[in-house]
Amino acid sequence: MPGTTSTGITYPCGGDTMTCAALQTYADTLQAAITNTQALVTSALNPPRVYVLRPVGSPQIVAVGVTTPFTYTSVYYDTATMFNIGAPTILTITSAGTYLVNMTGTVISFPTTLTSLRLAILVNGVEVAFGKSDAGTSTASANTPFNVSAMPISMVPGDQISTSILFTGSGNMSASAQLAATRISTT
Amino acid sequence: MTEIIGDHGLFCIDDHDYAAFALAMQCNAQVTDEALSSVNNELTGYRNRPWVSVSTTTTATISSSGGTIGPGGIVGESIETTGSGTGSPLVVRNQWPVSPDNIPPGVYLVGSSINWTFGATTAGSNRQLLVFAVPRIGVSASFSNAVQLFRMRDYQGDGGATGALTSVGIMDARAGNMSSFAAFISHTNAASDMSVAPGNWRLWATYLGSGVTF
Repeated sequence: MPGTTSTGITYPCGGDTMTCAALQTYADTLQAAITNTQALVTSALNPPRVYVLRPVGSPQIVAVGVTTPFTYTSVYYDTATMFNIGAPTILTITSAGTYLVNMTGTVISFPTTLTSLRLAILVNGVEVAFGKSDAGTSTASANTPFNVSAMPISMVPGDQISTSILFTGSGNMSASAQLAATRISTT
Repeated sequence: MTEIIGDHGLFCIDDHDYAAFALAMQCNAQVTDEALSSVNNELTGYRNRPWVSVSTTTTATISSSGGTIGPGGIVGESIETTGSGTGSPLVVRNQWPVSPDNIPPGVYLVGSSINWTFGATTAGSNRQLLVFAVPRIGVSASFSNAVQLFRMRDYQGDGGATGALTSVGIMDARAGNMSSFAAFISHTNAASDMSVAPGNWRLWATYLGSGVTF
């Protein structure tokens, strides 16, 4: 009676008749076991990840006092189709899991005055990570480049990641940004 | 006469061993199974790396003495606050191993993010968000025991009574270097306490790897 290993390899036992069919089954189940391991390699070493940006060369105009979603126009990589240029303010989760998310925002052209700058990462419209810089009494304006990181957990397909920028002061400014997300766990 | 193939215990037989053909296939199947199972387990473990995330569920009121968020040991066992800040209970969502009572050795990315308001502000006062490790079991997760410290600081200026900071760092938890980690917020805003709305202070960590040098 043939036996089967934990990874599904079917082998003939001592009393079994050796036939071509038995050899084929052996080869086929061995192939399937190896293929399964190769799929695990791909899943583990190449998790879903995406990196989009609003380049320095084409920054986004931001009006004073308005919490503005960042619009991304370029893609470094997107291994799981999480970014759609037709909806450029969001990343949409396509594979369930917990993700590591990071954004960097940089002021490109300064407004007339800049008294504070705030960045945020949102999941389904709710802020999950934040950073704000205020112009102190000894500084002329708020610090302009900084990072915000988040680790949204247990995301499911359809969940959306977005980012926002808000500044106070006067005039308008332009800013560039980079947003990256990588899955760190399938749960 | 068998011939060993490679270094995983596989072998082949010649014409004289034909009677043992089935047995040879069985042995090779089992050796292959062991090798693949071992690899599969490691890959599955890496694909589902340990992570932990805690956040506040009630309003935290933090005086200039500061406040702490973080697990005393493994997530959920104890949530500590220091100074006159209050911030409990915390929602715990985690995939952390429960036992042993220590963080699995390795290298971690640890981060915290906080969003606050003040009733009244003190011009030029600072706010600091610190993420730090505590070196061993039994040492309380208070700032005085901090090692591997990552700090972000901002100052009260003209930006109003709201503020936010994120601090992130890579921490070394190999060979008992770290038993727990926490985030600490402090400020020098004498005019009023800091208020942090529910869900507006988060602490998280994810395992990066064993950190073994070759």
